[in-house]
Amino acid sequence: MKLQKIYMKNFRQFYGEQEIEFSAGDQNVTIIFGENGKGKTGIFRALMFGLYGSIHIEQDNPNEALHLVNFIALEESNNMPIEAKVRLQFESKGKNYELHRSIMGVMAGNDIKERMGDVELYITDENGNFSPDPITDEFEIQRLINDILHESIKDFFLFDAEKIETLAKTDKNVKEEVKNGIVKLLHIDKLESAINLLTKLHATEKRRLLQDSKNLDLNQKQNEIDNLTNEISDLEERISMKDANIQACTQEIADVEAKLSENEDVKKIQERYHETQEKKTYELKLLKAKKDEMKNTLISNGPNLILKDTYYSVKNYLDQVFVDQKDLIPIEVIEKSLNEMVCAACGTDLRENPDHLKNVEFLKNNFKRSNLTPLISLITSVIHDYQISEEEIIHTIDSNLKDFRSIKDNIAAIDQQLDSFQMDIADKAQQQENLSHLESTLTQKKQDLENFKVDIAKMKDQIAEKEKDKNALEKEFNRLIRQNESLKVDAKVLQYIDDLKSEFQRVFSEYSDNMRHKLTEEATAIFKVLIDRKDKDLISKIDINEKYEIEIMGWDQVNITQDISQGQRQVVALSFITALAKVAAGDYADISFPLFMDTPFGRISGTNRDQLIENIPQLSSQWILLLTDTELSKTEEMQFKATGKLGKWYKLDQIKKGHSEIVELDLQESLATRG
Amino acid sequence: MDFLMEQILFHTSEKHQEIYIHLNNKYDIKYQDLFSICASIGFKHNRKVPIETRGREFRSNYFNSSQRATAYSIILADPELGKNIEQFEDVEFRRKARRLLEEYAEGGMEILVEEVFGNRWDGNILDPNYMEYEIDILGYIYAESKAVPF
Repeated sequence: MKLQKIYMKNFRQFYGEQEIEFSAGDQNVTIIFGENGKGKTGIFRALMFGLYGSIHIEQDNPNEALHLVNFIALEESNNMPIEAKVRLQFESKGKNYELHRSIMGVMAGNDIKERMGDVELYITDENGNFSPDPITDEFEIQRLINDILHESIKDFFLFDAEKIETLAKTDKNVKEEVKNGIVKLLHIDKLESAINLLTKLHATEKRRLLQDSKNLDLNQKQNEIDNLTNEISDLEERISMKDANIQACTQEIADVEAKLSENEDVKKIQERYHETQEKKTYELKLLKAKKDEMKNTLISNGPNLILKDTYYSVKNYLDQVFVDQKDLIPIEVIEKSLNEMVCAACGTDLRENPDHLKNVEFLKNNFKRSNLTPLISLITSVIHDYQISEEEIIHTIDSNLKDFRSIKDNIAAIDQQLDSFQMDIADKAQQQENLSHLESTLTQKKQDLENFKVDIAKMKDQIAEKEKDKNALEKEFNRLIRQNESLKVDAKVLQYIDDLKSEFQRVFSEYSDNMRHKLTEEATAIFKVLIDRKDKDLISKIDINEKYEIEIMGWDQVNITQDISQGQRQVVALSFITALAKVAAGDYADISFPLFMDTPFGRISGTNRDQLIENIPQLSSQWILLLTDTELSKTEEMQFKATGKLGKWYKLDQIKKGHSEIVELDLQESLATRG
Repeated sequence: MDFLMEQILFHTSEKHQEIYIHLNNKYDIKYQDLFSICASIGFKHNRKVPIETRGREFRSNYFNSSQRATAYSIILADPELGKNIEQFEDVEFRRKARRLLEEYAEGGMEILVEEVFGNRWDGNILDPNYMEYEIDILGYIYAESKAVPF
């Protein structure tokens, strides 16, 4: 899909007729620049209204009245109705689309009433054939548009400022949304409905069976299962609340630290603190590598080391057995000797030494393949290999154990240093009244953060325990049903529904697993491109796990989803969105969905911004940005211009309240108002 | 003759299965790896403990060739079954050999619990906050290998 042009008439702040052409191709970046309140989000609304007829966008409260018709036009109309229009031109898979929507508004006193107008869709096909009669049936249009970019996944590609914030969180809704995105992209939503339907059917049948049977045991078991189910979902809810707490807490810590760093003394210590922390990360990496090495030694040589003395007697015994074998000398060696009349082992000429020849012939006649030989060879060769390297192995273990202790000592020393920096910061802060309360907040928040993490870990353990109990109970329940003669038929029905559900689930997870893996790979690759170089090694993988949570794995494969900064989190969310667009485009070489972003850079740091500006144009087919003055300073402007990807450049001028003008600028002109 | 290449089921005890699970999940030390280590320790200390209730199982074809050689060495060096490689074909002998390895592994695990895990094993789970079990086991084996017998 490629957005070409949007035309608006009396829509929101855009008084009169105005339009924006979107850039594509080699120069695929369009920037619309406007300070807050000048109508950036109005353009986003126009796009949503144009495509889907939506009056509200995600950030709105859907119950709140919202007016799309321009106020000034309404005021000037003297109680006559005013029509607001949006006309959207776009291309998808070789076809050109022009979609017209309108909304009528009328003002009576202070009251504004609005009513949706007609909708028309014109299509020009791949060969340039234009149908003069537009499609006007709302449902048909909805179907066609959903086919191009389904309404339920549009938020991944066309998103407002809140979107990245939301995606960067780890709560239940995000999980649902990620899952929804994957399901819709794969077109397996029907399969999901079937699974839901079967789940419901299973529950209904089970309830009916329980009512009919009046079997106390069964009912009691079911009650226990229900209780556990409730307890588990309670725990899940509490975890998601704690997650929100953690995120808030992390943000507060970052804010307090930023405030503290305004003080020069504190800033200096903070810098040393961070340097030391980097040292610690390095040592931790060393420690991990050492641990891995030692684990491998343990697995491959642990048993050998324990049995080293035993091996001598085993080898002696096997050597004895071996000598008695009839295939001590391989038949190939014997035959080669006889063919060439030269002993293949010692080089003796057999023609000249008839005794030797006799001997070899005797060996051939008595040769009998023993099935013990390969086994004896296996054992003796393993023992032999171990014995020749035993000294080296013991030496390696010895030095590894020493190295391990010394790395641990280094880490302990670094930890002490870090603590003392913390104390220095606290001292400095306490000396100055305005900072002292910040310092105590910081300590408190850090403590809170630790507590939250411990709480979550505990609750996760509890969930695992309860799940285990629940499974056991369910097995027990099924066993009781099967044993009960009168419930035999019902049991079969339940089993049948269950089997069918499992089968659907299998297909579903097979497809979605595949997609999750692709997304994980893509998102990680994109993240590596987008993230600031110094953070590149921090994160090894962005994993979409089987519960559809976005998990961030650190260099040591530890889950660090809760530990990364808000800015990094946003880069993760952006990587995920871009990956989704890429995976959605299937085998197409480039992403065929535009990325339309309203104020996306809010919390992203300078260096990360530079990375995004440089790389997103390469990753997506079209990038449309609504940027505010704090997002587009002179630095970002230069960066955008340097990419050579900037195709269209607009600014929003506010003529007066309720009237903004879209002004196209020359690409050479300068826009940024801040340094 | 190399009968461990076949899919013979080996069981760990239910009592200690959480240790197997924990080291498998958190340290990527597979069941057959830990089993080999335990069986060797059990044999070295001549500690055979019958399994009361069976826990996790694994198939013998998961053993690599070095682990098979270790297992065969234990069988061949055992005071009762040992020095009897010709018997490896015999079904009854194989059954006894399997049980022997299981009992040594269980005995070896008891030694690990006493000598290495200590308080970190509460009878149900290994302390999940402790992260150096593999180092401790290796350290124990190393120290044992250095110890002078008698």
